Amino acid sequence: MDAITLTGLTKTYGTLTAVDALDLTVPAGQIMALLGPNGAGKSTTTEMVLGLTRPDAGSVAVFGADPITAMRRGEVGAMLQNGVLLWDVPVRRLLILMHGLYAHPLPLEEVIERADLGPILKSNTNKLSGGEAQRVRFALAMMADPRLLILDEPTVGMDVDARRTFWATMDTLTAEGRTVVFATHYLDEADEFADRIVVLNAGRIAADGTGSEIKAVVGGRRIGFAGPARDYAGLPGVVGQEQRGARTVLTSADSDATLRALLADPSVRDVEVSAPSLEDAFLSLVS
Amino acid sequence: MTTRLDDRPTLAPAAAAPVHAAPTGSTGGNRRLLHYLGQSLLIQLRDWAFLGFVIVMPTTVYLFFAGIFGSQPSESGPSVAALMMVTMATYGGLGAAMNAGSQIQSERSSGWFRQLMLTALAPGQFVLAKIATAIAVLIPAIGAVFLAGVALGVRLEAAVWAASFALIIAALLPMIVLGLVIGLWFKPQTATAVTTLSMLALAMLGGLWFPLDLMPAGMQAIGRLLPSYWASQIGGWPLAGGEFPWQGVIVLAVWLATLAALGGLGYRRAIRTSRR
Repeated sequence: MDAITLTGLTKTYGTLTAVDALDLTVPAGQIMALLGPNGAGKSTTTEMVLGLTRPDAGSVAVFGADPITAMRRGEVGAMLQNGVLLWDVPVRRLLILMHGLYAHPLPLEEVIERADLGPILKSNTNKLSGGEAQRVRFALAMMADPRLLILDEPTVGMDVDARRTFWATMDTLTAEGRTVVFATHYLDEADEFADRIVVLNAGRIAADGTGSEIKAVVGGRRIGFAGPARDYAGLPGVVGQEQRGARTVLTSADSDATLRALLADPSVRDVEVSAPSLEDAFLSLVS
Repeated sequence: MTTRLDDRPTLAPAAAAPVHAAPTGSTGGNRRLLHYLGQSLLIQLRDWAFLGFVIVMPTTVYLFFAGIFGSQPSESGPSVAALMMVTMATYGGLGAAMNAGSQIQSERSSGWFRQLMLTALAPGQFVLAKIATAIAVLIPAIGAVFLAGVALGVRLEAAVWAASFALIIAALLPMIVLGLVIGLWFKPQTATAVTTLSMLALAMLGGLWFPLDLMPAGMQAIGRLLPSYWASQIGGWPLAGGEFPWQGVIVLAVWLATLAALGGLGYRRAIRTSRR
């Protein structure tokens, strides 16, 4: 069964169309990244999947049910963007409070262990560091023992190490066959951890595929070399040129043809061919 | 630009995802409501400042006024200290009820309410739990003033104590809802001020500080339309005797119905807006 089925999903706020007739299916077990600039509709989409926002048109099905029913059944867990915690309460008390509110929660000790909350159980929620608070939010997201995890920018504000640790923890959860949908600004993160990347722009799908497929959509290769700084636009396949210090970087739609012509010049040396980063792919997709 | 790739990855799950026979019936719902209520109470009990405020304030005011006027002999019926005890307990309960009710505000505006909506707890259960928590806060607020009454020599039969206690709580139900309504309709900065101002107005005009009888006729007429006045009258009935103030029940019912309607509207609006 599909974890999420969105059909013609639309949400407008005043004159702004946040989500525009979105059709999207997420099969169970998939790890999908939602990428897009601010205002692309990532948060609005996740809120509609969670039943926190009602669509103006179209429908959301979560494991074949409406979002609120799926939530009641404990099939969905979520980390909200800028999610807050109950103020001025010890972490343990907060966990106990929430633990009784799910249909079939994971054992509390297991939640504490997985989110590494042991050392901060007695800390007050208003005294947690950003990373600690995020771990508590993560604990709340998995507490329901959900089949679908929705994470809205889960690693925002984390340093590289914390991000790695976070995703390592996620690996154990996804190995159990859970579906994960995460929104992110970190393109390397999407490329590294998702099976599939959906790029949203202005409430629509701008691209949908694996990280390498997204890059292929943009096409082209970058060819960097040291050599005489002159105009290379005449070479076959060249669509762009950039000077970076002593190095020239060409963007080519047909790198093979460009290279054959380029290497005929013996003063061209130290050639480097690379695929554009996901960041570049992303920028050209949404522009 | 929309680009669709034919070859979409569709990974089979590494293992079957956990599937549960979820207890979603009313039994599970009631269990969750009771759990949330119990835990909310425990968290409320940790709030010493709030509890101190709702207990110390009315008790102090009672001891002060009773110290001045309480020794006056009453011509018939209960002593002035006893009657004053009931009005002050109503005043204490009023503050507790409205403040507890308006605490819904902080959870709504902070966004914590959104997190709660990601559990199996239904929004209606959340509101029920808030009302029940507020009722629980009334118990120490009213109880403290009653204890102060005992200390000042008020002696009543057990049944009268119990009846007065229960009637004050029941009659303050519209005030709890008023607190909720304020919490649902006003912004955080204004909600506290509106709560305090309404509480003071209800206390003064409702004759909780000075008997209504001492006020001009116009103010008396206003007072008799207020739920605070009737809460103290109904709460004092077991002591004063006479005919039960049914007129007050009608006034309270009208207030309750109006506030509940406003609360329902505000609640729907709160769900919409807090879910942004």
